[in-house]
Amino acid sequence: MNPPVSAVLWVLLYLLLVAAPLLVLLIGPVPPGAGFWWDFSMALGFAGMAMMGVQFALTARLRRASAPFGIDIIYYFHRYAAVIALGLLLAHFAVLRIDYAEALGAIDPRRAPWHMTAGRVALALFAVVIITSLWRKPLGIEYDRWRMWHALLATVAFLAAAGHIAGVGYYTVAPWKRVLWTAYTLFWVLLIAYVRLAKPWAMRRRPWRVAEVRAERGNAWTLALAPEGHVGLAFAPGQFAWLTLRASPYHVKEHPFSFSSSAENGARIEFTIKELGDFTRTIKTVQPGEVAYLDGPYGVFSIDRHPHAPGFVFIAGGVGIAPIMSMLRSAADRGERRPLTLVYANNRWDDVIFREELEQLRERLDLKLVHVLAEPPEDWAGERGYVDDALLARYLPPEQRTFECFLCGPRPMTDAVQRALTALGVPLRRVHFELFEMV
Amino acid sequence: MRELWVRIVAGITGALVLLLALAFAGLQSPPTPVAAPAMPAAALPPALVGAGHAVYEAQGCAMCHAIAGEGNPRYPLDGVGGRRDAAELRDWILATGAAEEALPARAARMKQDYRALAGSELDALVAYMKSLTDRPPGEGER
Ligand code: HEC
Repeated sequence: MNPPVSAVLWVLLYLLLVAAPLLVLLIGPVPPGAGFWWDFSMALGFAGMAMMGVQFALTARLRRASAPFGIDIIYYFHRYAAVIALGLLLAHFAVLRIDYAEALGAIDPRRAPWHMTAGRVALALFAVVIITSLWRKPLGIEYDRWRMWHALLATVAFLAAAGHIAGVGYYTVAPWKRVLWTAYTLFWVLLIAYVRLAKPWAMRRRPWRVAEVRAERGNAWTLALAPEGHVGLAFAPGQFAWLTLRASPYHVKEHPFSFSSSAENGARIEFTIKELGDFTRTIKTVQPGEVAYLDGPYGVFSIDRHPHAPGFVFIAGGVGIAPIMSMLRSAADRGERRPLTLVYANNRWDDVIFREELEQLRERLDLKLVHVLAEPPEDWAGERGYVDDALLARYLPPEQRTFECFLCGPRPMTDAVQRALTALGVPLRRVHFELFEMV
Repeated sequence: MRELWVRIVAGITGALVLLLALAFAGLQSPPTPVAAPAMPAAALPPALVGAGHAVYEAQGCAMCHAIAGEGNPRYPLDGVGGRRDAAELRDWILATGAAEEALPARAARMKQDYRALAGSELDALVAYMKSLTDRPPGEGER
């Protein structure tokens, strides 16, 4: 199926899953109403719950569902949807609190019926889950710990909310509705089991071995992996995978990294990782022979998605070169003839990752290579400062503005470059970047 | 570009869900109050009725019932004193007799807890219920 069609189908399926509980409420024997605001509040509760349920599917990394969009965008959507769902649940509570305060009963859990307490606990937990996710960094929560608690609290909150609905029981008295609702809840629970148990189990059966850890410029390390007892992995250059090192896949201590090696060699794959955080600082201590696990490939940031492009423009900042290097190496291995431009921004000349290899790639590719340095050495004759529209205008002649542009770098840079490209008349649909912060 | 699509799809989802919730609330008919046969209120000692009201509040009956629009509108108790006699009221409060079968299983289970109420409290509660002979407020306007 071509990507736009399957994308539309997946969006429709999403809407259907979210609407399903409300549609079930609407059809069949509807219990007598109890006033507009009351019934509205109940519907809001169901709607919020349905959206929260689908949240589990969004992050289950179902490869077929994410392929047309790119999984980064699905995580991005997951954030938006969570806020909307929490809004619905808060509104559900607020309407009752304002219009029917007595119906809420005692707050004190020792006096309140358990299902009302469950509802309050669910609401509070959902709020905690969302606050700690949107503001994880300002709150100083470490990534691995956050991930574990995020999954745990979200599941507990969801089950508490399901208990709340079953306890109130009003809409679920009809036996077939009870069965439907139980099945609906069970579906999400099974999905969690798939993500937490079945997937890690499959990963364990396809282990990788560290073949080499190589120092690169700019505090970066290249980690080379070889498949152990299987054929490896076919990926498109520019894609990424979740990497687990020194932990069992069941612990879900994994981090996403772009492949930096050529896609033409799936039997030895490489990641290039800069020392930025707790996990990335440990890469240099990894020894050849250690076991690694991969979940991937994912992502739509790839030249392979644009086979008919007349040429490509790459704009990288620092370690953002990794996925672009994969695309360049693959292009060289495939004998690519189309014109390529790489604008590569760094602070210092000594920190330019792959500096030498890029020079060699120019012999195999029609590659225009533009280094931009923020802190150039005194004798630097090249570009200096930041990548802005004036600089891009110099290297992107108008006829090349129909090329597909790939941006990868720190967020402030990709934002600025995006604006600069727009100012040059490059349509947004030709500008590609991942919405991930690599951790 | 893709971010824009995310916002659009998220917006559509939110709007769709809100719309369905509104449709649901709109389609549900407003409560159809049982027509209360006019029955003269029995002479009830105000102190007893007041005590019954206190028990009603303390036991959280409003989680499932509404009186004069206060509480859970699903099962209004307005006018119940006019349509049920004291023995029936007792049955409905405690989920005994005919009411045990008629009540949803979960409500019946919760009501069984009220069997632990002191006899005086129960009497007061029944008196309070008996005092509810008014038709629901705003009836006829809806
Ligand atoms: C778990 C919810 C719940 C709680 C709590 C509850 N009830 Fe009920 N009650 C019901 C249901 C459901 C009915 C049946 C209503 C119907 O079928 O119209 C009912 C029926 C009644 C009736 C008969 C109503 C009628 O129209 O004939 C009375 C009287 C009553 N309850 C009193 C009380 C009192 C007093 C309390 C607090 C001590 C209480 N209830 C607590 C759920 C509850």
